[in-house]
Amino acid sequence: MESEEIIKAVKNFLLRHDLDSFKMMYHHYYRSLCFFAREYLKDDNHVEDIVQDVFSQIWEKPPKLEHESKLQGYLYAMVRNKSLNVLRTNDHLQKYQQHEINYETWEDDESLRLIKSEVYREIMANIENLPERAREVFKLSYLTQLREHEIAERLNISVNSVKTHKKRARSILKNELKHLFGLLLILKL
Amino acid sequence: MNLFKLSQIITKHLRSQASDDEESVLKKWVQDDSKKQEFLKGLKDESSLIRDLIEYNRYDVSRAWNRFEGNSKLEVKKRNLLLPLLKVAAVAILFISIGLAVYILTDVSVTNPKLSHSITPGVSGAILHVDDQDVIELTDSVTTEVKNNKGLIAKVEAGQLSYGDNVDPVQMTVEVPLRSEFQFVLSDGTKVWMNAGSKVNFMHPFNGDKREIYAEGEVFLDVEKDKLRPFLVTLPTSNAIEVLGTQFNIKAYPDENIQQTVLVEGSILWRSNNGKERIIEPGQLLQADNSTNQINVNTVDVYPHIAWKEGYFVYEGETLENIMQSLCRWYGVEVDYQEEVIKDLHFSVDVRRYSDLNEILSMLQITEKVYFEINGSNILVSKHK
Repeated sequence: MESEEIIKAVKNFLLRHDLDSFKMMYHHYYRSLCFFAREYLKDDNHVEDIVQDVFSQIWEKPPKLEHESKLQGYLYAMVRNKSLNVLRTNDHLQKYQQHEINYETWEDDESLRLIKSEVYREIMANIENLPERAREVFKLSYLTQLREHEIAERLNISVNSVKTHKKRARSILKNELKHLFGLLLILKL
Repeated sequence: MNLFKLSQIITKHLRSQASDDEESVLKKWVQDDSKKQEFLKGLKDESSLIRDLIEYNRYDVSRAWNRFEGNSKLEVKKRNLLLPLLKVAAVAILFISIGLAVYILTDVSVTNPKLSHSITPGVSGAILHVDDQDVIELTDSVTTEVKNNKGLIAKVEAGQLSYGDNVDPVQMTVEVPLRSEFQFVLSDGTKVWMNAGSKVNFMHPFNGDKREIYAEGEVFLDVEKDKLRPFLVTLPTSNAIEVLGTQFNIKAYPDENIQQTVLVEGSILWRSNNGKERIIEPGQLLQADNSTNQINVNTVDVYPHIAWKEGYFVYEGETLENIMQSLCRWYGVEVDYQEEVIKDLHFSVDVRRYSDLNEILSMLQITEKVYFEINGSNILVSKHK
């Protein structure tokens, strides 16, 4: 869900070219846009370069939009255009410059990838909102794929504490994301 | 289906926060589409979810931001409202000097119409001044609020002005630059259309039992009926119009001697600065000449006078000077006449306001009475050879 804050930041940026609002937008969309660009590009460096590029363009020349809600689509459309332009080969010379999402020209996979990028940001927000230790343990365990004793070492806590924090993290997430992490709980316990 | 809306619904679904309506939207979306069904199932599958989240999490936004800050010039540009105008002026000067250089350096042939350089029409936009303190651009991309310590004064949403409940009167001025037009509504419901190079100011809320505004330039008013609170328009040189619920067009640019008022509907009372009064009826045009204090009232075809607000330039046997004056404001150009007599040639025109200037000039040129030469933002009109 788009929080009030990010909507306000977008408005503020478009209106006043305000750096703090821009920074907030950047932090909000950066990973989603990278994840989205990855649909087109296999090279991670390219992915991040393209997203950086999109943001510098937005900073240097804020787009004129009908409404601030259009910015989100504009960002994705820019990432798509730039990615496709990178992919462009000699026998595929069409330039992608459309700055709006024209669903008719989008492949199903592209649309589904966009949805994923948006949904994952929200799931990550649930993870980021876990209590501090539970969050650290969860991320190290599932997203960095460290073993329990490695986590214990790194965080300087006992393996039992790691287990407790992991359990706590899962039960909070299971409660907040009722359709997710259910099976996970059973499998990994 | 909007992908962002759909993403929100799916997130809500995963959080078990989706309403029945949202659930049925989702159900309909996946219905008969195995790809989408797979997709939704995949989102809930823990191993593929974790795999995706690992990838998602690999992008380090803090590191990226540091890199971004290091690489780009993030100095905060102060938004300067004068800047666009200065830019236009600078571009105009550039064009003029290029034109001049070309003229000096080459033997300019004048036999071919020089209309290749296209000049685009104006756009919707204005500038709002509140109490000479806040200055806000009224364009599509702008959404903001104007507040003081007493509360909300006004709201601008996608360039559209609406009013807050603040009861302390503040002075508002809506200024439409050249190459622009703008439409807004006053707090009493009166609709205001403003043509290029116009200005309207008023107190908000209106003081006491009168609704008073000042207007200059070209403004069409559709005044909301309110018998208890007469509507009063003051023009440059202190001529004034008193209104009781009506539609009319005012043309009163400070740099023109003649002020025009055309009444479409209702009735208005014209009051000159020297105390003369005239009642105008629908279909009548009042012309007041400030240099001679003469007032003329004629019955006219109203449409050419209000066509601008419908997006057209319509002139019936109008002098070239008057036609060019409107075009100059709308296209932000200046005009020179090679001979004075050209100004008094008469033309009839009926064209879309949103065409490039070149198209309109070509049409006038077809008459073989005049010939236009565009040099940047300067237009030279000569007699046709």
